[in-house]
Amino acid sequence: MLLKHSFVVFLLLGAACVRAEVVLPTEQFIHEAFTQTPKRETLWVDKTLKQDIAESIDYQFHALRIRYWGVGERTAWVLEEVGKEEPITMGVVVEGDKILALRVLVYRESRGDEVKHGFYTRQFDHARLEEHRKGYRLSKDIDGITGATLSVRATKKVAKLALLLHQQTPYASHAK
Amino acid sequence: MSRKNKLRRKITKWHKRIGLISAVFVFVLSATGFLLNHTSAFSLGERFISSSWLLALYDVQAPQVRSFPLNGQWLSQADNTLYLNDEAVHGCDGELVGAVVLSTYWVAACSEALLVFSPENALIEKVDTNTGLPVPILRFGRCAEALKVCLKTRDGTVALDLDALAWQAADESSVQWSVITVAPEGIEHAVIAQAKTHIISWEKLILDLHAGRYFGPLGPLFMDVLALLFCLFAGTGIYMWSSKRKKREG
Repeated sequence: MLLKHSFVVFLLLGAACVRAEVVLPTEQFIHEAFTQTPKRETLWVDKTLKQDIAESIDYQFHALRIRYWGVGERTAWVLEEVGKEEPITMGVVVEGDKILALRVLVYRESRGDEVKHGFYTRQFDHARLEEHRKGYRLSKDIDGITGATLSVRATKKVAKLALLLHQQTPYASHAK
Repeated sequence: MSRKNKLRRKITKWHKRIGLISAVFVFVLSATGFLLNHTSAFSLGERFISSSWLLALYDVQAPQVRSFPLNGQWLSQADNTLYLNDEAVHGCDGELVGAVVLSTYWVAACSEALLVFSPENALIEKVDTNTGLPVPILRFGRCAEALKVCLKTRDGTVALDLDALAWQAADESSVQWSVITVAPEGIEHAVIAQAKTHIISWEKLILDLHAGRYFGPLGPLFMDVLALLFCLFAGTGIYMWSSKRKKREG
C-alpha cells in the first residue's frame, strides 16, 4: 500500500509541475508585430499542403485551417508545438520570406524555459528557408541550450512552419 | 598464511560477491539509461502502458467521464482527452462543457477552447484565446441564429460565427444549451478503458525503474546503497589489480 501511495504522490508531483506561463499575451504580440492594423486572414491547409509540410519540414499539421494576421508583405502566426510533453505557444512574424521575430507566448513545460528569452529567440531574426536534401532547413545555425533540447527543436520546427505557411499566403513576395 | 594474503583473499571474495549482486542492477541501470538517452528516437513519451498489472501498480483509477449527446453519438471527456463514442479525437483544454452539430461541422467546447471538426471528424481548427475567444466558457449551445454557436462566459452570453471569427452579444433565453448527460454504460466503460491506457508512458515507467522508485520512499536510499556497492566493487578491483602487479614485479 505504501508503495502504491508513493507512486500516486510521484504522479501528482509530476502533474503539479505543469503550469502555463504567459510570457507575452497574443494581443501584445500582434500589436508589436505591425505598425498598421493587420487584417485577420484564414489559410486552408489542404491535403497536398499538409503532405508538403510533413515532407519538407517533418511537421505533422493536424488542423484544416489556420488564422493569421497580415499587412503588406508581413504576416504574423501563432503556432503551437509540443516540446517534451506540453505545447509551447509561439508567435512568428515573417516578412519577405524572412523571420522578423520569433517569440514564445506561452510556456507550459516544467523545464527548458530558457527558450523564452531574447538571447535565444533573437537567433531566428532574418532566418529564411533554404533547400536541404529533400526538404528545407533554416538558413541560420541556431545554438541549442543544454537541458532544453526538445524545446529548442520545437522552436526550430515552428520557425520553419511559419516560413512555409507564409509562402502560401497572398502576402508572400512571390505572390505580389 | 601471511596477513597480507589473508586480506587479499578476503577482498577477492567480497569483490566476487559485490560483483554478483551488482551485476543485475548494472544491467538494469545500463539498459534503462540507454533507453532514456534515446527517448525521442524510440517515442517512449508517446507510447503508453496498457498492461493491467502495471497500471494497478501505479494505482491508476478510472477517470471521471463527462458526456454530451451529439446527433445520435456521444462526445465524452476522460482526463484531458475527448472521445467520440469510444474513439479518441483530440485533447481538451479544460472541462468539456458542450457539443453541437452545425450544418457543415460539429463543435466541441472545452472551457478554454473550441474545437471545430469536419463531418468526417477531422479537426478543422482550434479556437482559443490566441484568436480572441472569451474564456472560461461556462455553458455552450446552439444559437437561435443558424450557423452560430453560443457560449456563456463570466461576462455574458455571446453568439459566435466560427467562419468569420466574429462574435456579438446574444439573448441567453433563445439558446439551446448543451446538457451533460450520462452516456450508455457500454460507451462509458469503453472510454474509461481507453483513458486508462493513456496515462503512464513507457518513458515514465523506465525513468521510475532507473531511479529506483519502485521501492517507494526507500528507493533513493536503495540506489545510494547500490552506488556505494559500485564504488566498493571498483575499489576492491583496483586493490586486487595493484597487489597482483606488485606481486609480479616483486
